[in-house]
Amino acid sequence: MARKTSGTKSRKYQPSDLVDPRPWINRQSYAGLKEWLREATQQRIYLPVVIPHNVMPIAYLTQLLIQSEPQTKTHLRIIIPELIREWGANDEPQSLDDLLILCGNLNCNEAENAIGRIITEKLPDNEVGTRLRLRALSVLQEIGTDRSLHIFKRYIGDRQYAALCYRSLYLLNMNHAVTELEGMMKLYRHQNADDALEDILKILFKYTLKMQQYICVLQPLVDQAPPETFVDALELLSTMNIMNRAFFRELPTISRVELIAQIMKRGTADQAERISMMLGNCGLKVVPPPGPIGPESLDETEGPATSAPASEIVGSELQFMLEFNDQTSSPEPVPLITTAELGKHKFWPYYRLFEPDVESVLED
Amino acid sequence: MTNKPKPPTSNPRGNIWWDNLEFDVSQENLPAETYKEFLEAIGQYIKTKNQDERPVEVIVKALGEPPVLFALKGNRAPETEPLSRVVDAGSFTYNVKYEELFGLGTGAKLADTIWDLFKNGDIVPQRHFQGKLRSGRNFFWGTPTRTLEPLCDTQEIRKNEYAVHPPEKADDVATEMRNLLGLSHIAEGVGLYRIDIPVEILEQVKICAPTTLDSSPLCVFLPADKTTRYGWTLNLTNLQPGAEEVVVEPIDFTADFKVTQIGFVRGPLPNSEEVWNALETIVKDRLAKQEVD
Repeated sequence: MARKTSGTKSRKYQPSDLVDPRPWINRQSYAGLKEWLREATQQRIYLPVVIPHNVMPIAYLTQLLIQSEPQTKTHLRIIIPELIREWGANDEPQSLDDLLILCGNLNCNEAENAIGRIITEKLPDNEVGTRLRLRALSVLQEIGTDRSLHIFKRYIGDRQYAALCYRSLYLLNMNHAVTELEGMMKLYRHQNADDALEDILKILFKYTLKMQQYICVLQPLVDQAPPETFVDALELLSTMNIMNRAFFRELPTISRVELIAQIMKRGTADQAERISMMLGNCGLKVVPPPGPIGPESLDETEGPATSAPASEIVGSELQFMLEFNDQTSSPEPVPLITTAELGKHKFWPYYRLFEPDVESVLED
Repeated sequence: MTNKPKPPTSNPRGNIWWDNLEFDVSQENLPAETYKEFLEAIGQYIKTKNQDERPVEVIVKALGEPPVLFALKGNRAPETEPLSRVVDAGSFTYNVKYEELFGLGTGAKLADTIWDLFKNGDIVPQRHFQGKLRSGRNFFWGTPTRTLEPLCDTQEIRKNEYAVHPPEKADDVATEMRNLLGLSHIAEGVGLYRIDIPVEILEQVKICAPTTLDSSPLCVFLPADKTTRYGWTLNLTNLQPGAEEVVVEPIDFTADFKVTQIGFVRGPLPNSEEVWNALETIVKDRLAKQEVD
């Protein structure tokens, strides 16, 4: 693709501007700045900015503009969206890429609609189009509002864009982390992409939420998602050491009980061993009850929701006793919750949680 | 050939570039044909384009690519040995598949997030490395790994990923590395990575001593002399020639590369006037010496 020519006269600047172009950038009027940026992105002539010979021009330019004065940044936050709006399918892909990078780094919110249109209307479905759509979606994640929800929802089913759209959605509203997870797991598991799925969950749990906030996603996940989804997800999180002993230890007692009770309640018969193992990995010991429990102790309205290997099944229900599996903790375990406190969760007449020794957990 | 008049310049920095080019020619670093073509390009440019343009603009535009006309033209190639490239944290993000695999946005916090991911061992080279090693033009600058290795010990994070050991030295090492390599565009607070390229990969690509035509019109750089196959950086600590440099054609960035997360540069850059004055003195001294020789 041929470069556009500006036909503009030589730009006016001082010799000292070549060494440090920041004063020159800050001196520019709105029109001057726009003309310069257009030439920089379309023709890749940046003068009086001289790009050092060992860096990517856009990386250098981005740092330079981030350091500009507030008034200049205000201009840029209008100019960059305008240049993005002007970009057409016949223009250089590189110029759009550069503008998008600047847009994301300078937080040019005005570009939201223009980027939305580029993603949905202006980009071809070829390699270049896919690369630019990825970049555009990644910038929309930075500047987008609820107005862009439909775009993220439109592309979340496409594996190439799924990770970006999933994160963009939950950054707008954390409920999406739960509601979209089932679809994401199906998409990635269908393509045997467990590693990629781990990356996505890692970013959500390790790099977005604090440990104390995990429960805000995990509780609704266990409450709302089909058992096969939430058990898969929890298993994966346990394998990744995200849902672990420390997490359960940090949880307030009532949240801990609620979460575990719900896992047990909503898990299905064929998942009992997996649930048991998963909780075991988190320092929770799941053991059969000491004696048979008659069906009369069960609340029939709850319906049979869980089961386990035959030896552990009484009637159609699974009875568990859970305790923190900390053998080194105090010999006299302190019950944190009683059966009565469990209320309707009558599957667990022997449910007891024991406070582990705090210091030994911390040492772990 | 060296007696051709230099285009007039109001900027002494531009003179350093022309003096370096003259030195290149005198040391036969550059094929005579390439030098001739470059002067012709400059002449043609001055003749047909805007007469008001400054010499620096003329150089920038004449060197502008594509097409690749004047890069990687150095006459001498060094022995193949492990090379390293040092990049800032922002540039490193372009070599990580952060959008498709991590779902991360392109924004001001990206470099920090990638830094943390690397530090925690959450970047898996086989899956997450992408793109090519290159700069704005169609090649990149490298330094022999042996020059950088003595600056620090490293500790493995995961296969082919390392951090400085002990960690408390990381920022000092980053600062020393910035200065040794003359990275005068890297300010305080910027994180650095060192990328080591294995010999097996370098054997398959073009490497040569850099010439002035590989450098930007305003750069801290000293071309090779007849006795060496390397150009030189200007060490920003003592303002003397620093580390050896070569230029290399772009290479796919793969899991075979060893990456070390260095640390954050601490301490300001030296005064730019002092840097340019020191460079100018060295360049002029070299020219004067070769004229005597």
